[in-house]
Amino acid sequence: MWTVNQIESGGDYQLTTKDNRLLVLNSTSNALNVADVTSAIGNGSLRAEVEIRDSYVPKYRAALDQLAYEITQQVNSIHSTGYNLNGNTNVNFFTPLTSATNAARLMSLSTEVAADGKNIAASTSTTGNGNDTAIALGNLLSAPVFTGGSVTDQYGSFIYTLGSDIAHVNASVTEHQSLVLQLQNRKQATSGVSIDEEAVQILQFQRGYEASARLIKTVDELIQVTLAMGSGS
Amino acid sequence: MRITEASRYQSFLQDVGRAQERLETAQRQVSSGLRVAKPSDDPGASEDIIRLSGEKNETEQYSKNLSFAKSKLQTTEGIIETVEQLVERARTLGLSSLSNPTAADAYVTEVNAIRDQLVGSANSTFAGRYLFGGAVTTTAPFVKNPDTSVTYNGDSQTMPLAVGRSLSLETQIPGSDLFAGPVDIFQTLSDLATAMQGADKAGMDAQVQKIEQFTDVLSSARSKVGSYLNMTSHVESEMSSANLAREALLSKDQAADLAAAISELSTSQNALQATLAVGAKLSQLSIWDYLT
Repeated sequence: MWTVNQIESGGDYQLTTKDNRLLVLNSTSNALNVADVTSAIGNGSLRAEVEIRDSYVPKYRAALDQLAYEITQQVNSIHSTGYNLNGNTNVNFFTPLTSATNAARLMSLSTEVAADGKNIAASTSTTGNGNDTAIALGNLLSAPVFTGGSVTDQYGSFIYTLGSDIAHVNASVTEHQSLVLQLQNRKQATSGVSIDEEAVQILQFQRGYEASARLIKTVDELIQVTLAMGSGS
Repeated sequence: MRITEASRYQSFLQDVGRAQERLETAQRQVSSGLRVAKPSDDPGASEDIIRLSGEKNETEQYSKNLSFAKSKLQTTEGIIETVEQLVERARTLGLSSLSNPTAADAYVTEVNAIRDQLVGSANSTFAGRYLFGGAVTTTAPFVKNPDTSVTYNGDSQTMPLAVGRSLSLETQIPGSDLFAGPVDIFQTLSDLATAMQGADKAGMDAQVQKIEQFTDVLSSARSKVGSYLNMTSHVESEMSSANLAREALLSKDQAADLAAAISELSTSQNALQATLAVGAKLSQLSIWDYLT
């Protein structure tokens, strides 16, 4: 995908890259420098990989990060109002995150909860006995406090985006395959070899050759007759 | 347009590829029974499927909670019944003692035994958790003191269980509403025993009246438990009809229509066979067969 030879009509000889950067002109050459060529990748499967890396994967990651970040926030905000069995309140369930960046990767239990299950706040009463906070946490599942509705709504719309992206790409692949086939057929129509056609032409030339041979043979016979006439007298 | 061998083979290969893809899709639908196996098969339906199967899992948990609540309430009901019988016996003893104060000694022993039995009932457990301690479920809520009095260490919470979105069911009668409620039955029985020993008729009469008050408390607790139990049956039947409706919706979104899928399978099989047969026929066709 990089280099194309071009010989100009004036006799100059030059070598350029596909995006018209001059590498060699006759006897002078330009040095190749190390550079970021990502933007120069215009198409092909490499371009597809770059696009997946730069646009699709970040989009899905951002959606998952947002989900993880909001779960962390919402659970913490309810959990920290409750009291745990050690009689403490204001304890986070998840380690608080400052932003959604990498939230899905960074999401983790807070040190307090990870160290001791009794630090899970289930109650609103100061003794830590009871289950009101636990019920409130359970109700988060359908509470419309997340971006775009409830947590299930958010996850559902993520799945929808993923599915429709893939379906869209699949349709586009089919479309391009047809296009490529069409172009190949057009190219073949002009430059391709049809065995039938060549066969007919071979026959035609064969007959031409046969006809020529017949002519030569006839002339040869004529000459032989003529020569025989000369020697016989 | 000139049709060359190369383009004919290319078209043929692509057609075979498409037919095979179609066959594969049909085969997958039949063998898995799923119309939508991955999100790209139908993005809109996948979103619904995710939501519905999430709800299904949610309901499974609610249904577990519901059975738990039901068994817990049934156990509670049984215990209240036992307590009713014990208390009734204590009342009878009190009344007998009133009319025949001389038999007091035997009566006193029995009343004390009933009191101890009641403490046992009040400290009943279900699935390892104390039933009458409110939210205090891991330590015995009723503790006997050396001076025959009984202290309540529980609280007044009812420990509701979630049995649906924003629907929770109370599963407990806290001890503060029952044994240590308006009438402290343990104190009453101690006082009755004391009155019996002292042949104090007025005292006995007062305690018998208190026991009768406690019987009212018991029966109102019992009807409360009954109404909670009633609720569980309602929620249960509601849940199972909602489950049916959800299953129907889910299978509409997700499951393959088997008849249609099988007929699509044989159609696509035929289509592939036709494509292959035609391809083979065409490639046999050559002008050499007609020129000699």
